[in-house]
Amino acid sequence: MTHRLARRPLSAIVAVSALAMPFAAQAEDVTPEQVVTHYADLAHTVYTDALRTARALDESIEALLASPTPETLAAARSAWRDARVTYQQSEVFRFGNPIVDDWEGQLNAWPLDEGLIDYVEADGYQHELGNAGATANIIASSTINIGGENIDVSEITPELLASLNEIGGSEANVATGYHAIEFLLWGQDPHGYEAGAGEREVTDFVVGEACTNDHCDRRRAYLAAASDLLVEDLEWMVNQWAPIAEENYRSELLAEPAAEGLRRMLFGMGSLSLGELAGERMKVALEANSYEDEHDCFSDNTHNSHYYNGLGIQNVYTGHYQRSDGTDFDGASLESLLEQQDADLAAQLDHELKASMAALSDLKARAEDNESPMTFDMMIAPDNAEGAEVVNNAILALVSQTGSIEQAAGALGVSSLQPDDAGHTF
Amino acid sequence: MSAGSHSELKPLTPWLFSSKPMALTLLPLALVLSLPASAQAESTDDAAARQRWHTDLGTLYAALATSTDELKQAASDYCAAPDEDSRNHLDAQWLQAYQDWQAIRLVDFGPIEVDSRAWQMQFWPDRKNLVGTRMASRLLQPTDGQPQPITQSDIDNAGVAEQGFPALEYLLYDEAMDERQLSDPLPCSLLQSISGHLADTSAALATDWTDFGDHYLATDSYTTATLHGAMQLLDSLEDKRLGEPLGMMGSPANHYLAEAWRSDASVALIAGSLHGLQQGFAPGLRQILESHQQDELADAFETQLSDTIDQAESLQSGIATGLEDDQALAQLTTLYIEVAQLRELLNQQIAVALGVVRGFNSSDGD
Repeated sequence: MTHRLARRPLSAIVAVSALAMPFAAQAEDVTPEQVVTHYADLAHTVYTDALRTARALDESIEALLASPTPETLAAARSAWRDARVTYQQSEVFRFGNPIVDDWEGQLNAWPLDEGLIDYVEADGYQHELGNAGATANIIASSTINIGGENIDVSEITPELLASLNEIGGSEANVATGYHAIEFLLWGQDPHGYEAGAGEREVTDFVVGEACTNDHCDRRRAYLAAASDLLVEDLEWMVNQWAPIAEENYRSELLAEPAAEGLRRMLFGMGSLSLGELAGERMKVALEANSYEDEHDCFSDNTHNSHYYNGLGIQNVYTGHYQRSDGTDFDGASLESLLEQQDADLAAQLDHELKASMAALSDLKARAEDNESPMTFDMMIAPDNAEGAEVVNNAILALVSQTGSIEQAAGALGVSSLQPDDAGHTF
Repeated sequence: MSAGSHSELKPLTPWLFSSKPMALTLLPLALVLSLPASAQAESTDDAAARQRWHTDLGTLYAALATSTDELKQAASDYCAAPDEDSRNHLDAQWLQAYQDWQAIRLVDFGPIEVDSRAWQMQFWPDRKNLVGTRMASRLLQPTDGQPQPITQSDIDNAGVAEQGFPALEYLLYDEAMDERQLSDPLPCSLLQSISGHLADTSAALATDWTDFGDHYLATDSYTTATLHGAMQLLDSLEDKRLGEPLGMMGSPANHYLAEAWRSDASVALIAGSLHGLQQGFAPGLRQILESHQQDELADAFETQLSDTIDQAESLQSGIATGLEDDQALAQLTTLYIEVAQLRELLNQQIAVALGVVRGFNSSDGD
């Protein structure tokens, strides 16, 4: 698996993007229709890539279960990290496209009360107040009782796990998706604000005498089922964006006036920038010093999840995506369209997106530093002024670019960013 | 106000994309004071309404500064002479100040944006009980030697879960405190430190709001921002502060999702927010509506607001105990419906009449 983006300094990324987009500089005027069509193509490309990396993860999990060794566990963890690179770039499609927002919880819901799934430390496990499922431990049980309801969980299947999400009404009851798999591959992170991630031993997956922490057969079944479900879910979403004859979400979107497509693009960029990434995923964790609000809390991969979220926002603007195999994908961009309307604003937004990527690159570089890595859960520790500054810089850059995204909406004639289905009526 | 045009989107208004609008700015005050200073700084018809709002909201900020100062004094008095009277006075002063904070919560722009001050006052929602975890850890006795008293400087530099009204509520009401004496040196030093931090923050807010006046008055986009602040407050009242804990939002009732579940003061806090709308927001709103020949909408809003306040004040208990009692639950449901009607009036009818382009609350985190 190649991750050229991840290993290059930002200047190189920018240079590659610039080379890949002579189209934007020289082309005849782009039309809103072309831009929205390319957006649908971009979504299809990103989800196809997410599916590819999820299949690779699934294969590595099969290899782990076939032969549980420290090496196969490490390989599965590495494949999980790779799968996050692509999926996190897809999250910009979530807001604004109802089909994605309604679907994504099964794949990426967090924070989760992991005691629903498997054993947890009795001390220091902070779960959601009033969550009846917080210590249900599906892996150790044939039936679980949540809020007075008995549920047969003897046979672990993808369908069963999907049905257990938000059981008992708590959003923290997450039985499936990337973070459930992450918890199974890493285990709880016992280190708090200190260096170190989860340290699950591979013997948790060994059948027979060598099994640690009991119920290894069910833990194996759980991991396999969660991984299968992830692949199935991504297959479904790829089909929704595929340029095929049958009706799907893509055909619905392209049947709308182009202004509606532009609105969904801008809405997705702004919502992920501010409310979700800057707000829910960084600001809450930082201001409350809360590693329970850390996105990839078991693996300490949060810096990458944030970085690739940011890159996804930039992708929608530039129309550019670099696939996990290193190949480029380009087309009619929102940036070109905005340049035609307001060149200064287009340049400003471009500049701000680069600035937020620079801030996120810094956050990523600190976390991956060879000498003294400072992961996100260390950055948010009380009294870590240096870490707080790194996170704050990213937040501020995201806040700034959101203002310009809003202005871009105005310049492109998108007068209301409210989604069709978000009006509450009493 | 340039209603309905694209210029609505021109000023930097990050709240349009935010589910937690108050929490997102870390900018220095000077920058916040100048932020939405877009090209269009001419004043318009609405300048008079903004003048009214600035004065009325300033009165609410001043009241908060006063009551948090009294709370600080009450904490000090209690720690000097802990008895039933001083304790009752402390409890009452905590609730009064907390209600005064609720009254001004509709303002989510300007000085409140600096340094996450809204979260410093009240970190909420707190689904994972960070307040409880952090306070328990603050109160740990060292295994050897005397505990070091906590200073206000410790709290000034702490995370938001330790700085606000919920942290004080933990000291006053959490069942873990049944095992402790609040009057002991360690808890009392924490009580005084948090109270001091709240008083200082509130005093700064009151001063900064006054300084913010010229900019607020000169900048048209603050008319919409003020309307949006009230709309956002009503969204939160209906969905988060009532709907979710009462089980109206598709999940079972859960009293831990209510504000102030430890003290069962959730409805008293809601009443505080409604009073804030009545005193700080409604008069300015009337001016705008009258200038648009929409007097009857102003009448309708004020009547519905008054009915909603009556309903909140008729309730004897909060959500935590109300969920255990059928009669109280029926009363809470009525309050929920009154709030929903108030929200419909402002966020739909009045917003349409004024041509306010409504932002949205982005979906919650996953």
